[in-house]
Amino acid sequence: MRWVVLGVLSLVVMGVAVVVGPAPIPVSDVWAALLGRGDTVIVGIVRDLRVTRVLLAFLVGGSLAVTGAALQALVRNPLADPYLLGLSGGAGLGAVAAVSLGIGGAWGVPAAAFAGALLAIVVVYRLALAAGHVMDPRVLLLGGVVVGAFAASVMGAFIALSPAAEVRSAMVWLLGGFSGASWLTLTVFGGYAAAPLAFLVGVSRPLDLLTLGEEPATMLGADVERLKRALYVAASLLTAAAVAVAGIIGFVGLVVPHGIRMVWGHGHRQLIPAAFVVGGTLLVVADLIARTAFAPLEMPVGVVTAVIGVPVFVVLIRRWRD
Amino acid sequence: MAGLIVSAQDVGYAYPRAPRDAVTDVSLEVRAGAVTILVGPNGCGKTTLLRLMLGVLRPDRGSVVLDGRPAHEWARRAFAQTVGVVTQREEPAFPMRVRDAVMHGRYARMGALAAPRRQDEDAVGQALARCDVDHLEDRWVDTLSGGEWQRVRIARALAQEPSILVLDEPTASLDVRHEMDVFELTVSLVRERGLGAVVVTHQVNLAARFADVLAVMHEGRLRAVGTPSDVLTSELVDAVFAWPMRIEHWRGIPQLMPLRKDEQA
Amino acid sequence: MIRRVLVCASLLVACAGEPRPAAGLDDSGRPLPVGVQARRIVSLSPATTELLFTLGVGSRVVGRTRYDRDPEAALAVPSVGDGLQPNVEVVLAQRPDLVVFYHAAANTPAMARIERAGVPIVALRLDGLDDLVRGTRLLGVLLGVETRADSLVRDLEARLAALASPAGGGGAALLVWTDPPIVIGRSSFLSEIIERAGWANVFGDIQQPSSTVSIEVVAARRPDVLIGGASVLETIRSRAEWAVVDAVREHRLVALEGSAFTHPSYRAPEAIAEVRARLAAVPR
Repeated sequence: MRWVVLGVLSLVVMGVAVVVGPAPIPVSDVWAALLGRGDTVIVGIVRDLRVTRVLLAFLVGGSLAVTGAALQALVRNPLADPYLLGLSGGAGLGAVAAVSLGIGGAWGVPAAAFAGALLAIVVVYRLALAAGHVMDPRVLLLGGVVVGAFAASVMGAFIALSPAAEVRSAMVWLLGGFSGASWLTLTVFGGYAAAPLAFLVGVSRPLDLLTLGEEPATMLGADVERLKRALYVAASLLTAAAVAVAGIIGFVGLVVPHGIRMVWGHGHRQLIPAAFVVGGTLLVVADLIARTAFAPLEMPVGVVTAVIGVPVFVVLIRRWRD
Repeated sequence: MAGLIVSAQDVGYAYPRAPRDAVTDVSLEVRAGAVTILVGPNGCGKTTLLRLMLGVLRPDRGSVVLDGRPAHEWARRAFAQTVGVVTQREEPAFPMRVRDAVMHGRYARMGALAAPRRQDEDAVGQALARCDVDHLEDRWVDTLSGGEWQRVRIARALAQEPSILVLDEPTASLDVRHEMDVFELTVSLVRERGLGAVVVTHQVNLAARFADVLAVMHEGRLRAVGTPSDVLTSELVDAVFAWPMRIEHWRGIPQLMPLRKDEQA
Repeated sequence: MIRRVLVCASLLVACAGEPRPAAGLDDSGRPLPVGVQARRIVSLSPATTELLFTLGVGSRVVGRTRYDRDPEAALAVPSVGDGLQPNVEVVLAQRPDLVVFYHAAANTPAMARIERAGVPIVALRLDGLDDLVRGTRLLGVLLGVETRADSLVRDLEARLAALASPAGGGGAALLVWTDPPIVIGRSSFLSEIIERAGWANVFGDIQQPSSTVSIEVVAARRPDVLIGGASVLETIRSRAEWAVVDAVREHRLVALEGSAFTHPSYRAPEAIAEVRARLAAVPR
C-alpha cells in the first residue's frame, strides 16, 4: 500500500513537472505534444527538454538519496551524505579538472569525477580512522567538510586560471542544475549508475548488518572488508555520475533517507528503494522550483536543496547530541 | 557433528609491528556438547585467540581448523551458519525492534532480497521463546536492559542454527542475577542441543562453576586446560593472577577468594 | 567573465535608476582632477583604453587590463591584470599620474587605496554609446583634447543618425554560454547594438546584462535569429536538445566575434551596420 502511494505520488509529481515550466503551455497541448502532435517547438520543449529534464532530475535525486543511505550504513551515522562527506566535491574537482585540461567528453567527464570521488571518500575514511580503530563521527564529518572545502578551492583555482570558455563550463559543476539534460546525458547517467544502483539494492541485508558494527556484521555472515570496498566504489560511481550531469547538489542524500527512516524504519530492503523514489521525486520538485520560481530566469537547483536541507541538518545535529 | 569441532594446533600470532607474539604455541580443542571457558587476566591473549578461532585473523604459525577447513579460509556466510557469536561490543547505529534484530541471525541462511520465509520466521520465534525474550519482540532494542539485550543477542545467535556458540565477555556489565541468567542459558543450550560453546570471561569463579573445560591463558600462552578442579591449582593461580588467592571448594569445585593485604600473612 | 557578469548583476540594483553625475564630476561623483597634466595613465577597462587611443592620447597610456586589446597599438602597453579588483601594487608600479577605473562597487577599495597613494583617479562606467559620448567629453576636458573629443562626438552622432532607419527586424536571442544557457539582457552593450540595428532582443525584459535561463525559455521566445560566439554556436549545433529552438533547427544562427560588439567604441556604427546586414541576410 505504501509503495502504491509512493509510486502514484512520484508519477503525479513528474506529470506536473512536465506540464509546468517557464514557457506556459496548456495541458491539452502538452498531452498532444507527448504524442508528437502539434507545434514543433512545443513538441520539442515537452519531449526533448521537459521529459529528459524531469527524468534526469528523478534519476539523479534517487541516486543521491540511495548513496546517502548507503554511506550512512557504511559510517554508521545518520549525518552522512555524499555532499557532507566530500564525495561531491571530489567528483566536481575531477570533472572540472578533466574539462579544463580538455580531456573527457560526455563519457569521460564522469570517469574523471569518479576518480575524484573515490579519492575523496578514501581520504575522509582514513582521516576518521586516524585517531584510533573506532571511527569518530565528528572527525569523519570534519574530514568531509575539509576535503569538500579543499576541492572547492582547487576548483576555484581552475576557474581563476583557465581561459574564459573553460571557466564558464566549470561554473555548472559548482552551482548544480539540470540545464544540460538531454537523451545523451540520460544515457550516460544510466550507463554509469545502473550497476551501482542494482548493487546497492542487492546488498540491502549486508547493509543492515553493517549498521550493527563491523564485528557483529562479520559474525552474522557479512564479508565486511569486501562490502566496504564495494560501497566506496558504488557510492563514488553514483556521486560521480550525478555530479557529471548535474553538478554539485547537496543535502538530498541527507534529507531523504532521514525522512524515510522516521516514517518507515531503518531496514535497507525498504530504505534503499524508497530513498530512490522519494529522492527522485524531491529533486524533480526542487528543479521545478528552480526553473519556474523566477522565470524566465533560472536559479541553481542546489540553492533549493540547501534551503530544504540545512534546517534538517540542524535538527539532526541537535538530536544526535542528545 | 559429534566430537571435535574447532581445533587449534600450535598457533602463534603477532600483530603487525608488535614486538612480541600476542599468542604463542596454543593448542586447544573445542568439542560439541561441552562448555569451554577461556579465562585469564587482561592482555593475556584471550581475545586474539578468539579472533584466530573465528577466522578473523590468520595464524602466523600453526593452524586453526573448523570442521576440516582452516578457519580463515571459510566464507563468512558459511561460517555464520556454523558458528553463532555474541561479540563483546555492539552498538547499533539505528534503532530496531527486537524481532528484526533476531532476524539478522537468519542472514546467512536467506536469499539476498527475498522476504523472510516461513522457516526463518519459525527459527526466530523459537529462538525468542527459548531465550525467554518473546514478550519483548516489539520493543526497540535501545530500550532494553543490559540483561535483556544479551539474551536477545543470544537468541539471534541461536537463530543462526549454529553448531557452536561463542560468547565474548557476555556478562561484562551485568549484575549478578543477569550474569547467572546468561551462564545458565548458555549451559542449558549446550546440554539440550549438543552444541559446542566457547565463552571468554573474567569471572574465574563462575567459569569454574559452569565449565566442562576450563582454559587459562597467561602472557599469550595457554597455561592449563582441563576440568576446573584439575586446572585451578594454587601453583597456577599464583603464577597467573598475580594476586594472593585462597582456594576454597564448593561441592568439589574450586573457587578463588582474593585476599586483602592484612589477610595475606 | 562570469565573475564580472555576477558583479555587474549585483551592482545593477544600486546603479539602475541612479542619475548621471553633474558636469565636473565623474561617474562615482568624484570631482574631476582638473589641472592634472596626465602623462602616465593606467586605464582599467577595454572601453576607456580604446577611447584614450581614439582621443589621440594613446602614447600617454602606461597600463591597461589583460582584456584591453583594442586598438592594436594598445597591446604594446604593459598589462596590469584585471580591471575589476585590480592589483593596486601592480598599478602603482607603473608610476601613473592618473588611473581611469571602471566604476563598480567592487572597485571601491582599490580606488580608495590608489587615492591614498596620492594618485588622482577617474571612475567611468562606459556600458553604452551614451556613456561613451559622456566619457569622451569628460576625458577630453581632463586631458586637454577637447577639440578632438568634440569632433569625435559630432562624427559619431552623425553616423548613428544616418543608420537610424528602423529596418523592421525581427527578434534575436543573444547567447553567451550553453552550460548553463546564459543570455544577454537589456543592459548589455550587445543588446544596444542589436536594437540600433533595428532588431529586438527577445530577452529585453531581463534587466541584468546577462542571466541564466533554460533552453525551454529560449525555444518558447521563438527568436528569429540566435546570435552567439563561434564556439557557442558550434556547441549548440552539436547538441540534440538545442534543435528544439526553431532558429537552431532552421540554421538561423549568426556568429558575432570581435570587441566592437562587447564594449562601446567609435567602431560602433560599423558594428551596427554589420549586424544589420548579417541579420538581414538570414532567411526568414
